[in-house]
Amino acid sequence: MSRTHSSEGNLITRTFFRLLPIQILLAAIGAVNNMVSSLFASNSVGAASMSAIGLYNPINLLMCAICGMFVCGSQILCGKFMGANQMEKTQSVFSMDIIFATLFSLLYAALHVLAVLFGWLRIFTSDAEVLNYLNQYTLGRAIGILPFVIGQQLAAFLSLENRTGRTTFASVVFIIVNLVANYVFVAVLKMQAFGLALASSCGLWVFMLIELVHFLGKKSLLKLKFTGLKDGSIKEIVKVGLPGVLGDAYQTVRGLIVNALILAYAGSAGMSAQATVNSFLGMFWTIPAGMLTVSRMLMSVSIGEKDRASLKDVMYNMLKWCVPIMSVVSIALALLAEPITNLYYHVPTEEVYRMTVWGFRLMPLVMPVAIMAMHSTCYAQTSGKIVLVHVMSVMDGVGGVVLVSLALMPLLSINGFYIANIMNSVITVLIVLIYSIIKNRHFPRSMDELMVIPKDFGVSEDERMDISVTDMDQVMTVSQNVMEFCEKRGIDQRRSYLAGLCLEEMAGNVISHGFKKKRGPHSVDVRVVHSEDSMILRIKDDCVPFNPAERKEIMDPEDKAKNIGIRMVYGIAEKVEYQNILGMNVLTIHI
Amino acid sequence: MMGDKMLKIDKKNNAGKLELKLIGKLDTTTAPELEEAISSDLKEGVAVTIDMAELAYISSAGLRVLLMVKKSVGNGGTLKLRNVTSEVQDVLEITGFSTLLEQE
Repeated sequence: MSRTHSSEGNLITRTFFRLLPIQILLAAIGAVNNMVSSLFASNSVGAASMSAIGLYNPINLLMCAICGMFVCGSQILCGKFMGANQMEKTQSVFSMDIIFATLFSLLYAALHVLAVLFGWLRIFTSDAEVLNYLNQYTLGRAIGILPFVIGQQLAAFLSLENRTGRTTFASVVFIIVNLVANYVFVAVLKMQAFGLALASSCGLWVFMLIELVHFLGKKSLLKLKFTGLKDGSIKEIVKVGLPGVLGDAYQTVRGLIVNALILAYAGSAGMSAQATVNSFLGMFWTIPAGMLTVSRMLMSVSIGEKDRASLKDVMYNMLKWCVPIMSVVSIALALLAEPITNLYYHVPTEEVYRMTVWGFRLMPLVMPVAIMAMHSTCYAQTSGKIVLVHVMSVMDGVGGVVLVSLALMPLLSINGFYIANIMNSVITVLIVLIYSIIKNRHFPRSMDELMVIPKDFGVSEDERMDISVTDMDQVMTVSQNVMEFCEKRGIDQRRSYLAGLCLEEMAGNVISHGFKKKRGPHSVDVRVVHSEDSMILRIKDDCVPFNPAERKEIMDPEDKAKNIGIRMVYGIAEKVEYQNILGMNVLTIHI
Repeated sequence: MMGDKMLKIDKKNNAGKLELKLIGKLDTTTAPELEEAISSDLKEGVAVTIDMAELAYISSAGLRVLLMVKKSVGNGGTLKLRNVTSEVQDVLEITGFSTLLEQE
């Protein structure tokens, strides 16, 4: 009898929620930073400095986009290589990413300095006071480009190494340094816009240095090496990461068109209203952004491991948890529309007040649909469905919002724009459905079909067995199941017996030691794969990191009474591999 | 399926000679049963023989009990395994227990 069921659902969900807070925090750094900056700018420097910050925004967006391309591309590749246990390739991607991200940062910072020296920023404004602030601000920001870009790369790699605690610490320090530096530079030393920018740059340097310490230490899996680099790595990073940047490029175009539409149909009150709504909701968009980052890591590892069940579980997890959570958040925001508006505007009869209230009622509703759309885009990107990625990017970037706005705004004014944003995500989700209908030639009947997972992805159902174990009694049953599965697959009795034995030893080890050392619900996911005479046992858990190879090294070969189980498994197996990916212990035993 | 984990223990204690016959599987769940069944019989100087003709499976937990038996009877006593099946023999050899435990 071989019980086959989706055993990893729980493990994926637990890993998801373990990694989520840090990713939200990372996404929130920008939002908090903006809030702190705008508070000091409006209170200590004046309105003209706010304009300068606003004008600088596109320059910042471009940097974020390119930085995002490096993060996204290298994260997907590293996840895949780690999943496939190819550490050399992982190292190469890491090193190339850091080298090229550094080169980009230095170039971008140099451009900042040149722009100020030669007065290039004049193209953004003709107002002398604003231009002065913009020049100051640009110089201050130039200092923080390198630590920003590298800090983001390191944070992504720390997640892969499951060292997110360091990022949390660095983030908290960053926020404190930023706050103190703003006070000192802007409020006390009166350094104006230069002080504002310098404050955040200082914070970013501290953030990056804290993260860097890990990679200089011995505990780091990833090391910066300048030898054995594969030139292909950087091309791959760009190739995988570029669709995300293209999306940002489309967004910029969309921003320009949408601004013109808003000014035409809703006037400057509409412009202020949507700017207000967007700036406030920015804090809440960090939740779906964090969710997406975690899902992206889980997806790329699942694809690397050719683990169909886990890959689907990431999607199930999104539907089961992310969509409901975002629905609750968005409904709560919509219900609080008026009190939130009161933070900004105080005269309910004014047009801008009314438009802002409607913005807070409608725009949050984008979130639950967007989380589906974002996951779809991310999956298309991770699994290399490039045509789909481009179609979705074009529709999301330009098509959806602009077309629907054009149709609705003449009738509904600014509300037409708000509704267009909701429709935009709906359209993206529909594109996924249409793509799947085209590829399957019928309406998708399963998650496999909806996700258009290739038939030959991973191993077929009858070549594998997936079981989840939570206590010792189950271990024995599963060990028996493994033996029966092996015999049914025509594996000789001896090998079947040894497979069952390895499972008892290693899964039992996790339950008797791992479960006790770390509180909370745990399970061990067992997968047995037999194809073309190769027999693989994979045991996955989320308890404390435990590398049996290290244990084997420190044990005394003469003392046969110690670690009998591990000794046995190493004696039986052709090869034993251990990895810690995203905080999960993954033990692969070849028999 | 749970029935498979059963271990049957035949025990004869005859004035300092303990004869055991194990039938079934000696694994993580059944090893403590064996330990409990024989703990009162184990004293310094006892000669223990274990018939393993019908023992189909042994894991590290089982080996640990065998080791415990050997220690309990001390230098004055003996532990001998009898009729070891090829599966169990494999495990004894992989772990180095074949040189540690005497066989008839």
